[in-house]
Amino acid sequence: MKRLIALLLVGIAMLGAGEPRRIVSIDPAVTETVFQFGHGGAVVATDMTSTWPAAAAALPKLGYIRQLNAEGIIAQRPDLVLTSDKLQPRMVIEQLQQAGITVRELPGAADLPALRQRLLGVGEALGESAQAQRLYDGITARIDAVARRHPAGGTGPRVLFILHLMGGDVVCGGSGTAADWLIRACGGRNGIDAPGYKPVGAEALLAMRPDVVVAMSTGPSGPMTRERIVAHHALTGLAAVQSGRVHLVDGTLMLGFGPRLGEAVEAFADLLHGDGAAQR
Amino acid sequence: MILRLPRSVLLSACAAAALLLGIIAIGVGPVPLDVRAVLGALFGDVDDATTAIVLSIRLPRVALALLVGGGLAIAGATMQGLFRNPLADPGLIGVSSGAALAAVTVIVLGDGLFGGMAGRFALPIAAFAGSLGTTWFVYRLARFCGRTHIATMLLAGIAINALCGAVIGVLVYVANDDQLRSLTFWQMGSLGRAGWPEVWMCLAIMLPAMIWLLTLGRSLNALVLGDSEAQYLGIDVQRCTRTAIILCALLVGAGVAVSGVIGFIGLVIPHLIRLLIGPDHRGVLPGAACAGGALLVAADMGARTAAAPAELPVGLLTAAIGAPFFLVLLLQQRRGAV
Repeated sequence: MKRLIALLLVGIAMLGAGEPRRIVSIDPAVTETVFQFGHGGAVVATDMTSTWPAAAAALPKLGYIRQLNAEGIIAQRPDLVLTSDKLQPRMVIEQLQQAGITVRELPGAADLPALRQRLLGVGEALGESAQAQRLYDGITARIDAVARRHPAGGTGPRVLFILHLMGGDVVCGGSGTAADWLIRACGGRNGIDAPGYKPVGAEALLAMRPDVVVAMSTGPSGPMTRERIVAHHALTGLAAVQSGRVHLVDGTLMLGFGPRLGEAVEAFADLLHGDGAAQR
Repeated sequence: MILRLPRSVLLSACAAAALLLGIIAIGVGPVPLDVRAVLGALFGDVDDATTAIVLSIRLPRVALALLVGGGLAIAGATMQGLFRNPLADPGLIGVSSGAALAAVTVIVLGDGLFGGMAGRFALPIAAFAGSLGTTWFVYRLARFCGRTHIATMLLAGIAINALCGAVIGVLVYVANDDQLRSLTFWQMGSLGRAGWPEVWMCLAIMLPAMIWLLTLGRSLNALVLGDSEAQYLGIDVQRCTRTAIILCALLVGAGVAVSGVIGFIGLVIPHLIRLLIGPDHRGVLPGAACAGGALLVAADMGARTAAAPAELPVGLLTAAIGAPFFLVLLLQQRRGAV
């Protein structure tokens, strides 16, 4: 009987050796990918910004990705930590490895090469390489289809992407941001040339004459509403605002650069061109 | 002054508190460890995870908290004596703003300047150099006709702080989102960024500086009376001032370099000790060193456990723990005076 139990235990251990059973995921895009591959059940904790899907939002939170502490992660007894190079302080990775925990660090940038490495890296760690490649191919196919319909660099709509309205400032996505990438991928032109997310003055906004205004539906100063945009002194005079071409988007979907990127690009293209399902 | 205790009693109590809190802090954290596990990690054989938690996570933090807290407090006490101003803190001579400016430069322009070569030590080394550089500049501005003019130094410090603030503002404006967040957290202060190499570097710089400052207690007592009075008492005022400023810059520079800006300790701990044992610097300096270390260890223990498994910035807790304690002492003193 004892031998049987021992055999059983060894068997279980061997079965489990291939697959991590307690995963800590620190990075929203990585967390989404783990859930996408159907391994969400093994995730025991995430960082604060991993809020999609709902099951990930409900997990214990280990803090902000730039202010982590190794012991908090060790306390979750993970056998695998999946994260991105946004993790700070860097020493945490070393400390986790010293504690005998496998750490997989993936690129966190908002571009396609990084997305590919992110998906394939998570796939490899979870034994889902084939699924990861399929997912990536699917995403690029959807992006390519949108790009064929709406080629970049043309005379597409001029887009103003608003991150949030804080303290009266209109903080917009400039060049080099995820918002900028998304606008280009959908054949639009970003109204802001300056790099990064920056507050833009009322006059510059008027001079820009955007065709479409897009804003994140949530922000640091509470949920965004159409009314707040229409009533804002720097935005109320814009033709796009007056003609109702104002759209609210889900930031975690649109700027997340995770497994839902294909979906995000299609939805965003719909907003810019208003072509909806008709052309698909 | 009903609360004033004999100096030796209070100093022993402060040292004991620092030591005791240090020992408790090694046993406390998000991962529950019993005494046996901690001792096992220190002296014997336990699993890798326990060893890593005790030896490479908790122990360096506690050591650093003792060092940095003690260093900030003793530097604050020295500054208040030197400037004959109860509101003086090490930031006044540009130490913190110089460090912040250098740190911001590395965070925002680091990749451009060093082409991604900026490693783990680029930021602390830059911050340390920045703090010493600005302090030296402020000191040079205040030194003319062979004398250091304390009042000029105060004003020069304020001007340099404003200038650093302006440059930091420009860098913050050109920073991207990621850099901005790194910057915010750096400025809030944390002991979680340091490992053993940082601890050894700090120890090598701070321990000698602290011991040297302790020997200046008598000179600082004389300086409080005024420069010329101190001169009549046989104190070499110029040399004493210079030594004290250099030592403070070393202490605060090294502290800021590894842990960011941690407020409150340098300003309030010296007052707290003065309330307890009186203004004699021979008591205030060692007392502040022990109490500062004890407070930072306690605050860091809170930072690690209050929001566990997440972590709070320690700068939020130094004030939250220290300020009420300080207020109680003030109230007691007032009652004693009536």
